[in-house]
Amino acid sequence: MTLAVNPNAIAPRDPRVVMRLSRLGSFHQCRLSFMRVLLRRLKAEAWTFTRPEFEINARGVGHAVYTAHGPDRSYSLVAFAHDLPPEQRSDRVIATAWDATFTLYDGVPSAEDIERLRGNIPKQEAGRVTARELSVSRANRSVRLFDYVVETLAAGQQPDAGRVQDVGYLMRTTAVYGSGKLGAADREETANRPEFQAPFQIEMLSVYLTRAFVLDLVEHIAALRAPDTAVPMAPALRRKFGIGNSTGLGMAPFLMNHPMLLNNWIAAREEALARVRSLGSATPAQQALFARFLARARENAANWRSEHPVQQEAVASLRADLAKLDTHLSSHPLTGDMPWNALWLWAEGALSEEGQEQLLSLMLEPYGDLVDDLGQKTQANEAQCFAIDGAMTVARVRQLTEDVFGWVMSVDWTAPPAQARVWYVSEEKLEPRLGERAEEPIEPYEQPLCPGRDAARMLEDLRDAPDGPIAAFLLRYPQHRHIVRRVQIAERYPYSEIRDNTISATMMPIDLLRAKLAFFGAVHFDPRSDRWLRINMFRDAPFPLDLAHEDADDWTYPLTEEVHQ
Amino acid sequence: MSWSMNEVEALAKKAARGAGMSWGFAEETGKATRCLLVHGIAVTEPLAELLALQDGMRHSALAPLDIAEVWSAPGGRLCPIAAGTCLSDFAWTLEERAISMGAVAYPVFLIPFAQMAARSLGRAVSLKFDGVEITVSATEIRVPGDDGALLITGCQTIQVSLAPRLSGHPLPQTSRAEIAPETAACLTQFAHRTYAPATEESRLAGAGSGLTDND
Repeated sequence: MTLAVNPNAIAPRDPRVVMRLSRLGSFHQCRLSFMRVLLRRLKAEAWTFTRPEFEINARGVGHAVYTAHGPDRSYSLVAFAHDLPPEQRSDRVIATAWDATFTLYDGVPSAEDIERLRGNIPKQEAGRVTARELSVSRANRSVRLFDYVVETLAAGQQPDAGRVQDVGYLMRTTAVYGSGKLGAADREETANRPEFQAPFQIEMLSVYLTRAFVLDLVEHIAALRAPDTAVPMAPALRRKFGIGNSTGLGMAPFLMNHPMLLNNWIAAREEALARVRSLGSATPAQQALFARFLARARENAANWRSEHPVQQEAVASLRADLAKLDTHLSSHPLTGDMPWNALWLWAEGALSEEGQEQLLSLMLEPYGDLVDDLGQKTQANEAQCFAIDGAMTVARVRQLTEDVFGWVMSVDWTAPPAQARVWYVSEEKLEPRLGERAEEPIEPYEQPLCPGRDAARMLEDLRDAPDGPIAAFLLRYPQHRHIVRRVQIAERYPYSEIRDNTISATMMPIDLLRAKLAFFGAVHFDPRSDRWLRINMFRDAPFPLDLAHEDADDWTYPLTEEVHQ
Repeated sequence: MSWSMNEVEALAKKAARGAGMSWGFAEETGKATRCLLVHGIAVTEPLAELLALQDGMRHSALAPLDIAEVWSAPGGRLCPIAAGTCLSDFAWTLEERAISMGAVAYPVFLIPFAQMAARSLGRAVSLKFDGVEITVSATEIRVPGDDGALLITGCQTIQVSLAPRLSGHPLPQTSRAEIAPETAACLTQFAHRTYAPATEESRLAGAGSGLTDND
């Protein structure tokens, strides 16, 4: 939808404010997050769900198929459950065996398909799939909860809600591969299907069905072990389980490798904020809705657990910010002119980045009609932005570079901390890693994941270059081709570049991971070091079979007692 | 074995980097390879041969020195990726005059760049080598009857010009690529050069150790 011309329309935020690593690392899920886009669609289109196969023994070994039936097509999660010796269990990418492995199949698989997949999916990277498969993923049991929940249910008891709350999931996915990986169908093959136009819908559907499988699995194993005493999980407690995820550096380069896509995600979110800030007033119902979401966000922050000192500090600021926000609203109700803009301007001065970005998400909650269309504008046809415009003048490229990468001119690139890190790919697992330039012989293997440094190098050569087409400059300085392309992309897509040094000594890779995972819709970010973290997905969401009679989009903050009543 | 296009593009890009291209040109190689494969032109083996031929050579020996009457490489034969990027970068000059090139290795790789030029000009572009004329538009690649003639290892002259119309038969698009195991092995070997050898230190620190991952 487009807004009527509003002389007071607020512009989206400046990329120089938004595209800082610390702010990207403070993002929270919002209405535009990909999990929410998915569940809204499944609900609106009345998708149905079946479980045509579930053949798993008391040791938890076997396979199951979960099929989602949409208006035009069906998709099946094919799950393989394994009996993994505990010493082999690792969330790291160097693992070679997992508690469960999965693929999302395009359609309903035949018996032959299942056998073919049984020979490949459990091997993950060492296996091979076809264009009929849309994703490949795996998950490990939570040692803290899985067996405990099975044993409790087998004994006819319900698990302790506090223990469930502390962990939040029974299994953690450790990789969800899509987009042609391991031979699966390319994104281009499915991008025109309405259900997969928004980004990562295949992966989100796969994870959503995986959560249902894992809950069925614990109840099934409990029932097989103790047929006389076992009970299913109480439905309210069942909802408290999300699916965990462990994510490391493998994901970190994504945002830098997909500048146009990154722009479209951020631009949609910034446009949503600008639309709400531009509203002339808020109705009493919208004010009340916002207040309820704020209460739920406070409970969410209260439940947020992390052992990482940086995140502990961030969560403490978030809790303090939300309390401050509550107090502020009691003396400054949302009854004046442009109340959301007034609130936002206050927040910019009063709250931490963590608190500001949480407020952004909360401000979108009462306005689905105004902003949800933007969730469908987060995809990108990246082929469109690949070609370099050789006719652009050197002067224009210089000016653009200074606009987008102005910050690089104040960095002393000769000082070791500015280039302390090297992004490289390890021979061992072919996964991105981060090393110390001065301490390891890895510089020759450096990946192009330091646009700031590369822009600084180009600016040096641009300084004395004669004006004329950039094509002539590239003939003389072919090494700048990569960064010229990025600068030209940034001209059209202002949020495409991170305005920070991605190889500095103080850079925190988890900021990159958090931004991406927040767009997925993840909650409870729990960094385990500066370069890997755990999250929770679909916690409190309705299960597939409940979607038809439940709200599909009211689960990302816990339901408080007040809301229950 | 059947490969997805994303896999082949990623492999081609890494292989090109491994063979000595800068990242910007490696990206172009990946995209060009994908474009040709999508149109059913089996270029993975020619790519492996091209990379072997130019392995370790300096870019300056393989690229046009300047945009003269006839583009040529100081080292003898132009690299089709280096010449191709120049072709798409200087696409607008086709409005004034045709582009002539001297010897080019594996000229089939010029086709995607001619298509990029066609896209930016909104005009059909013709590419002629050794009596073969290929015409391209933003969305189509058309070749004369025998598309086997496209896969020559080199040619002495190339003419690129605006085309009044598309001619020849359009190549149908496909979504998968077949790669011979030995070709895949060769490209993988080039790609392997972009990977840092693992050390115990990097194994622990590079991906971040931190707290337990099994609890």
